[in-house]
Amino acid sequence: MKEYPKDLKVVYRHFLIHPQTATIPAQASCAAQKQGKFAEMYHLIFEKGYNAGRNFSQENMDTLAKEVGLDMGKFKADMAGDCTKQVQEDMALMQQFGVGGTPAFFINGRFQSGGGPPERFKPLIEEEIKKANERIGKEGVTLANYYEKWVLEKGKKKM
Amino acid sequence: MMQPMNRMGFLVLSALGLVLPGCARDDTRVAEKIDKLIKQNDEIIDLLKKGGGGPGGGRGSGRPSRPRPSPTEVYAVPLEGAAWTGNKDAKVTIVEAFEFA
Repeated sequence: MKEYPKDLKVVYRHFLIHPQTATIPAQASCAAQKQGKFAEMYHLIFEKGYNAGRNFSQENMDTLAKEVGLDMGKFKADMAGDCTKQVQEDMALMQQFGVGGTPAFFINGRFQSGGGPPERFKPLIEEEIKKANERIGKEGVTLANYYEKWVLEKGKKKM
Repeated sequence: MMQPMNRMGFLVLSALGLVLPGCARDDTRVAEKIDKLIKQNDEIIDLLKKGGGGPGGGRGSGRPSRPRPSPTEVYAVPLEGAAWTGNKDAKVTIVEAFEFA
């Protein structure tokens, strides 16, 4: 991300392989997203949840939500309401595209499974930047609609 | 009166008469057991050929593996409603399927 401050956007979709432990933090990050604080909550959950012996308890999520400065009434309501549905919908969507584990990535729609060092993705990112540079400015393609024109319109709708 | 040699022969034959049918029965049982073992062995060989039948049998088990997306295809993964970081209008959009675990 730091290497490509202008060229990268990362979109997060929940996909739970370990629902018994990962559901509460997934719903908590979703609830934070609804208050515009996803990134802050995401990092805190890893820093003070995952790195603290995988403490993903509701109590710990509440503590982190307070630390981020969330409206706690809305946070709890969203966790129990909309976010339960959103996590399930994310999972269904990822399954539609063949995801079976985490982490998994679609880089401008091109699938890459598993984790690893960020350097692993550099060749593909560089390749996609080069393609975008060639395509933007032609046939009504702009930077703002590039993903829509070249991924959503031309890509496969499911696996 | 039976001569001693004849008596001996009679005893031997009688003994054989008692023993041989027993041997025949045993042979039948042994043959059945061997047939059963051969059958089981064949079944094990079949399982091993398929890669199944126990720990480590998953790889190359002959079971159809779950299909995965092709890295050479482009998939139209929608972005609506999802959290994101980075540049709103970027040349490269990465959709990450993740969990806290």
